[in-house]
Amino acid sequence: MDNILRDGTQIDQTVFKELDLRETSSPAVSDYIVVPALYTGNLHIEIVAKEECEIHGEEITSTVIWSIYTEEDLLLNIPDELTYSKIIAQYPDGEEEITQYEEGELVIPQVIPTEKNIVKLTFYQDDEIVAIFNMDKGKGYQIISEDGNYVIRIVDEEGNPVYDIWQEVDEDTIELSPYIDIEYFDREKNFVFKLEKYVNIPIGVYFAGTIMSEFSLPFKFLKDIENGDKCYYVKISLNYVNDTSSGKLNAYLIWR
Amino acid sequence: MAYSLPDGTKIDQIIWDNQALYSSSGDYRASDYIPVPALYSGRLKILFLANNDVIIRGQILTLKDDSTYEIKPYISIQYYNKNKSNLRTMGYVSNIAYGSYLKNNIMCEFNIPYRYIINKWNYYDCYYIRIWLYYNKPASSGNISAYLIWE
Repeated sequence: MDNILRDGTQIDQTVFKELDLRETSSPAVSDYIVVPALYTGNLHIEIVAKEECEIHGEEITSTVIWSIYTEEDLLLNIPDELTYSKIIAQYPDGEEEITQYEEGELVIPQVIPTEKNIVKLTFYQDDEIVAIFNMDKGKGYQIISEDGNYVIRIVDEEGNPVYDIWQEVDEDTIELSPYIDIEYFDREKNFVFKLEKYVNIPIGVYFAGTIMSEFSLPFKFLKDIENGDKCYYVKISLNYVNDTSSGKLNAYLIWR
Repeated sequence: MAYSLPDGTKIDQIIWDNQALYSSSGDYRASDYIPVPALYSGRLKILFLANNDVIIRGQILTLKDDSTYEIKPYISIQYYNKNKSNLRTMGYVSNIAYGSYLKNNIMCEFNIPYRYIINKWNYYDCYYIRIWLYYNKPASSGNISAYLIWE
């Protein structure tokens, strides 16, 4: 049983003892940890690599790769022959009309103010759709890689280039960080609240003895939770992907 | 201007005071430089408070199967030395549960990591930090405050 960390910090309780990241299925859940001093705000958890550890989170693949994203205004060099009366941009969280007029006349080239991803652009003439540039369905455009950037080339039905949009393409796969959940229980071990994804553990490799995560046990928010003033035990859950993770870690409750 | 929290906790510094979530310039909000000479005591915490009814949402990703995944709003911390030279950024230090918060609800509380930056990067000279809150601005509303407290 460890009693003290390398820097002299005294260990109050051991939360995980040599938890094998490869062999333990995620989430790794601790036993009940008795925390009568929770409401002092001085209880902290520290996760330390027992040996060299590699830890990874869930990967998700997003179609946002084919959207247009820019912090600057997006300049579309709309050719004169492409007439339209309005443009609807579809963002991942909804749609917006972005047509611009000056004194009743459309402004060409069209400047689209955007700080968001655009998934689809739909061009209308009156109520009729004259063109759809659907960034996530692979229609109506070609993508050509050039120097790490991409040209989104809008093409007509014969495949002839109409115009180009330059944009660096986002990663298609995102690895989410491993994360910690905290469950709170009262003295009778009745469930009170689960704080999900409270903190993240940076993805990567940790040498033996390296701190992988440190966080305090939050308690102030419990005042807004029913029976939040009666918490006496907590459980710590470590969520990660065990197939791509390896090594052993320890986790400790410390008083600071 | 608040000097203590509703529960009596004394505020050490005000990071944001009653700021509207919609007023950020992008999908993030960055603090000024916050001097933290007591960082290495390990007793400094950040607390986010709802000043009125707040809705906060995260970035929504559309997945290949047309389902969606919402990344929780999250906080990153940038560490600086006394000369305000950037030492390191710790991303995703803490998350905020997306959803609705009533007035005076605590949205997030976390301590400022310091053992990690010593242990991993050997930084003993951090003196300032900046807090970055990342969220989905168009889908969020309400006013928030953020405070540095000693506990």
